[in-house]
Amino acid sequence: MCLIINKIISREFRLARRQILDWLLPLGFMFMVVILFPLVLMVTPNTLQQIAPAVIWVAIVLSQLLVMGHWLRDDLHDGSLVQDMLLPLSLSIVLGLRLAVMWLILVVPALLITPILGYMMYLAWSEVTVLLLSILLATPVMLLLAAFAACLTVGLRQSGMLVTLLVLPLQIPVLIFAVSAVVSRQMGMPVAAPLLMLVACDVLAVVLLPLLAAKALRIGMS
Amino acid sequence: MLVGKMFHQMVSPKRFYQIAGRCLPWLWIAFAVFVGYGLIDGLFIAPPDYQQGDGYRIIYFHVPAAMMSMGAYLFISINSFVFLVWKVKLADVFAKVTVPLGATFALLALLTGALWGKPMWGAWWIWDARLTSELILLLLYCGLIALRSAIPDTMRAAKASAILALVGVVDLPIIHYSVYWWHTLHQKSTILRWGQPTISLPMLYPLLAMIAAFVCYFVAILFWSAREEILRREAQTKWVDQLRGVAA
Amino acid sequence: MIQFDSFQQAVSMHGYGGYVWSAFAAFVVAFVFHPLRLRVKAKQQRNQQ
Repeated sequence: MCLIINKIISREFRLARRQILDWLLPLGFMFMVVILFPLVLMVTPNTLQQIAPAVIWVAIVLSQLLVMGHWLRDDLHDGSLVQDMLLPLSLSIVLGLRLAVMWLILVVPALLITPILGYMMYLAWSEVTVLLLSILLATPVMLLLAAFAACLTVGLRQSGMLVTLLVLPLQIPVLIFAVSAVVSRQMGMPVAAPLLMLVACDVLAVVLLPLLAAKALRIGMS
Repeated sequence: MLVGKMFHQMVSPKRFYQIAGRCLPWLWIAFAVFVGYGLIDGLFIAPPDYQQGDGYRIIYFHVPAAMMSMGAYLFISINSFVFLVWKVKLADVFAKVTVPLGATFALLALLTGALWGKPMWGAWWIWDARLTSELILLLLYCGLIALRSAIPDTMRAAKASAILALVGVVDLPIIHYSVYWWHTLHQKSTILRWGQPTISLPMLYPLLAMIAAFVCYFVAILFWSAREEILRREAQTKWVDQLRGVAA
Repeated sequence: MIQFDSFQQAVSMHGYGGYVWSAFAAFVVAFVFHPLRLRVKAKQQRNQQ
């Protein structure tokens, strides 16, 4: 059992090490999207400060959806999805492990680049701290929702765009809580409430979504 | 065992086809009665609102549409659950035909909301909590439509749509709560109100009638389109052939 | 009982007529759309058979 878990996790890390572009490109995308706003909008630092949390968060969401849109595509084509389904481990746990590694690979670069972006958008350091915390807490739910949509649309022709369209309405409350945490800090209000709501969403998502994603994957591969 | 047999008979497509066919004329009659009374009373007889004048009469379209759009989504999710757990095919038929209907109600709610907003707040659209939630509901409906049309295999499409509907219904209260919380935090001055805190009785009766009318319409279209869908799905069976043989 | 004194008043609804009757029109379009759609589909089905 532990051997299999080890193998799954090390495989994910190995793939990430080999295909650096898989996680470097979304980072570049996120950076580009965020700097487009101050570049194109000739506005005061105050306005940039106000839109910064939302802009940075939308950039994160879009870059993650870019990755998750074709998360399963390569695995479907080379047969490793079928192999995963045949493992003695429950499919939801296999998916959960793969997603946990994917989360680490995506979130660490995002956390590293966010202070730079925050500074460029004139955010105060306390606000950047809350932003980092919100990224840490909200990305698991976002990733789980996107993975669920990817499993639902596995193998379909327009799966990339479909994943984005299906998942964005579902991610809206998470996005609201994440952005409102930073905005609350900007307005000097306590940030505990939205952050705790994010934790609640995380718990709900971790418990329910891997099971639903596994079921969706089985339906898609039948 | 007998209860199980009775249940299976109730949810058989053929039985439903017959029962629905008998109910349809009554549903249309009920709809005509409710909508006739509701429109005449609501548009001409009910007194004007002291704050909003005669413009408030749009609620006779807006409120039932919004309620039905959410009710329809709940109906879809219940049927999705029944379909996934007990594999009742009729539940999938119901879920499939309700989606475009619910989406129409959501769109109508948004349009009438905009028509109400322009004279009341001066803008066709504001990012108020209720309207924003309704917009997200419409997007959820569009997602259901997109998913079912993107999957060519009917069984896979049915199960995938069912799961998506269930995830959506769990997310829906969270969406409502988060949008409401977010907007009341920042727009305390522009909270949408229906007019007066408690609606007066002469205004309430036509509203109830319109809600009943919308429900009758919903059930009528549900039964009608479900019957058509059943004919399509069971095209190779004996009873459908008999039906066609009688007709032709 | 009827709140308007003339037909003109009922149509204009003291200034709100445009909005209310547009909402009514939207309601009619939405409610006619589905029966029409079902009729067209049923006709297509019968022609196919």
